[in-house]
Order: sequence, then structure tokens, then C-alpha cells
Amino acid sequence: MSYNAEQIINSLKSEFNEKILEATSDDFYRVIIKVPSELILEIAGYIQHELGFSTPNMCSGTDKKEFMEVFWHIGTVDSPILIVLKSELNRDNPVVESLTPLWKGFDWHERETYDLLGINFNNHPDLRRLLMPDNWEGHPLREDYVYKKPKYRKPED
Amino acid sequence: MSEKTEMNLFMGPQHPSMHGLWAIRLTIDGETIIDGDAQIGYLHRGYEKLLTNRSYEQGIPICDRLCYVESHSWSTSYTHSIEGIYNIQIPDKAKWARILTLELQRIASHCLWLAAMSVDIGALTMLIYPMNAREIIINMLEAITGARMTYNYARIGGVAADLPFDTVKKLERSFNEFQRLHFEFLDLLEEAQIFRIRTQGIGVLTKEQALNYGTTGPVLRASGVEFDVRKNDPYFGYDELKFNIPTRTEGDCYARYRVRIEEIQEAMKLCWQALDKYNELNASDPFKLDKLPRRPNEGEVYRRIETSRGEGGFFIQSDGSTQPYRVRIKSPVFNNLQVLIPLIKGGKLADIPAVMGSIDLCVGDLDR
Repeated sequence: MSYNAEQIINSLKSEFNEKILEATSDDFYRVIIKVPSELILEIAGYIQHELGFSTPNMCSGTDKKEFMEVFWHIGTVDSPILIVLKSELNRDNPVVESLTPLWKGFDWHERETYDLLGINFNNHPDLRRLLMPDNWEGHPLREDYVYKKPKYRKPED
Repeated sequence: MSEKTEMNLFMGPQHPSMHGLWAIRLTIDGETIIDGDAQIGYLHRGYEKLLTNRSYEQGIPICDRLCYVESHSWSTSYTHSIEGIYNIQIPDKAKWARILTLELQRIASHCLWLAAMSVDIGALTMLIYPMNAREIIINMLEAITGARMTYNYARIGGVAADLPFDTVKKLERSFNEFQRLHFEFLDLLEEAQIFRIRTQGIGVLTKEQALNYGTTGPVLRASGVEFDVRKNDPYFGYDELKFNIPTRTEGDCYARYRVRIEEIQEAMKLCWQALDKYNELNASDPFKLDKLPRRPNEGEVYRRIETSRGEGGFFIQSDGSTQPYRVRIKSPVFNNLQVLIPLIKGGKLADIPAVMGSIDLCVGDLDR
């Protein structure tokens, strides 16, 4: 059971009609679906259970200056298609529902996104910094991030 | 006797089998593992930021340093994504040269993995044999690309140079020698009962778990899923070549070991096919595009290749300038390593190196 890009878009549009803001596909087998951030979990559940997209591929975000963009790539083992769920978040307080209840593989990806971009994921089991040290200040991939030299302790003389 | 028998153990980063670059905070009860927390980030170099501060061409040699075991796969993967952004097709000659070098790289990487994994589980002699065999492949790559570790062979729209005129002869000699060594050390390892006891039935990853955690590469294929980017989402010219995808259904450490060993043989077949296709072309055919578009297109691209650890790829967002706006690296190890803690939970302390070794981690592309 595998769908092509057009079938996926039609299926999602008929199920969620105007709740889907934009649905396009590109030359590299990606189906890009823009949705409001409140509906992420609902639509992701539909993608997993009805369309049979079983493997988490990656999750990350981009700081677009006016807003924060978060995206999930969801794949399947039957076809080369990747569904990209995208959502725009408020840059000052980016909060979105976590997809770890559906795919455990997004665990570290969401932790990394929180770490580097400061996007908070609701209902994530363990949202801590992953790559940066626990006491790091700021989120390095944000556009307004200013690098401050870490304070090293001077050797006592 | 006290009631509480649990204790915390910090395994790594100085532990010899942790490859020096990451740690697990373990909660153990005697020899049994109750819980664990993987701590990564010791090698975080900020690649995603580094690449956005440089032009597209300048990023390629940096991506060579992404993973110290298979640098060529990563620089090729980056150029592959950039070609998507520029929307260009590479010449046929470049395709076959890339496949040849990528498959050689896969063999070299699997040899290094075998050496590291055997040492992790105590087969110390096995450090030397696969490294010896790897040397042959590295010499072959050196003859083609001119370097032994960071090849810098990929270019946007092709490869850096033509294959040397005596590649066929060299490849034949190398592979004959490699096959001899290969079967010699496989006999040494697989006939050893201790190796089987320490790997068979250890760290069993079920099919559902493997899919839900998003594992790719040999880890997924050892759990009975036939998924390979080379077959499912063919790039370069893989759809014109004939090869099998080795799969196993057991999902234990031994299955992951077998899948990689069989992949070495498949990779050798692919090398010959790619070289044959290459030799069918004229010597004067281009191996690289002469001209690139002046500026890349706006938009975003995600293209993936099958590295020796699984699906690796680059997600690039471009704003039309000469530098990428955002790069996200999809690392296969990042997904694969997430299954480690569930696999070792409830097991014995001594199983950790076996499970960890069979996942084949490269901290370079784990932390990026």
C-alpha cells in the first residue's frame, strides 16, 4: 500500500479541508504540508495511522526572522515519498505539540531543536539540552544570538 | 545488608570502548542495567552554523571532516543537495566515478567498524586484520582521489578528476588481495564461539521498534525491513545497477554484523559495474560541468544518500544568495543511537560494548 504525492495531498485535503494552509510537492519526492501549529498532533496521527507513514526521518526548525518555522520529515519504507509537516510559530514564544507520542525517534531531534533554536515541545517526555552544555545561555542557531565567550576559571595563583 | 543496591555509573567519555566522545549515565543493580541516559555533544562543532557562514563551494571540504570514517560520503551528499538547489544534472562520467568511490568508501568504513567492534567485545587480534584489508581499499581511494582520509573529491556538478588510466588493473589486484584477507579474518572471527555467544540473541531490536525509532541502514535491515535509499530513492545511477540488499530477521547484534559483511560483497559488485559503465564512455567526455548557474535558486531541498551507516542527507534552505540560509544535516547515527538505551535496559553491563559496536556509531556525524 503506497500512495503517490497527489493521492496524499487529496486525502489530507478531503479529511482536513481548509485547515491545511498549503500543500505542495517538489521534484525530490517531498510533500510539503503547512498546517496551523495547534493541529500538528491530529494531522500527524492521520498520517501515521491512515496513510501508513511509519518512520520518523528528522525534525528541525529555522529562524525566519519574522517567525519561527518548525518542520518534521516523516518517511515510509514502501515509497521514496517524505511528508514534510510544517508550521509557523510565534518567534517570541515558540511552543508546539511534540510528536514523540507517535514516533519515539523524534525524541532527540526535538531535544536538539529545543537546544539550538529554543522551540518548546509540549508533552515531550524529557526536554533537556542535548548537544550544548546544560548551563549554556541562549540558543545558538537563532539569528539574534550573540556569542559570548564562556567564562573560564583562572588558575589560582 | 543495606536495602538499596542501585548505583550510578558514568560510562565514558574516558572509557576505552566509548570511542572517547560520548558517555552514558547508567543506573545499575549489580551487573544488571536498570536505566541509562546517553550524553552526547562532546564533538559538537556547530556544522549547521559553519556551513551557513560559507559559500556553497567552501562547504564541501568542511563536510569531508564531518565523519572521520567515511568523509567521501558526506561531501558527496552535500554536493548532491547543492545540485538540487542549483537544479543541475551531473554528467554520466561523474555518476559512475561517484558510485565507484562511494562503494569503496563503504567497504573501508565497514572494515573499520569490524575492527572497532571486535575490539570492543574483546577479540583484540581482530583489530589488525580488517585494518590491513582496509589499507588496500584506502590505497585504491588514494590512487583515485589523491588523499587517504579527507578526499575532497566531490565537486558541484561532478568530481574533481578523471579516474586514473590503470583503474581496472588496480581494482582487480586490490579486490583479489582484499578477498583473500577478508575470508581469512571472517574464518577467524565467526569460528570463534565466544564471538557468537556475545552477539547472538543480544540486543534484539524488533521490526516495530526499528521503524518507530526511525533507524536506517544496516540496523534497520537486520531487523527484517528491506529499505535502502539506493533502491527506494535511487540517486546517481543506482537504478541501472544490479545488486541485492542483504537483510536478516533476527535483529540481534549478530544479524547486524552479518548484514554489514554481506554488504561488503555487494559493494564490490557495485564497484565493478560502475567501473564497466564508466569505461563504456569516451575518454573525452566531461567529468564535471563547465559552467554553473551564477546564483542558486530560492527554495529548499532535501536529498539523501545511503551512507554506510544509513540514510544521510542535507536539508538546505536557500534565499537565493551564494550562501545557504539554513542547513540541517540528517545523520543516520543520530537516529540509530536512540535505540541503544532501550536495547541495553534489563541486560548485563558487558553487553553494552557489543550492542554499541553493532550499531556502528561515528560520533563525528552524531554530534555534527
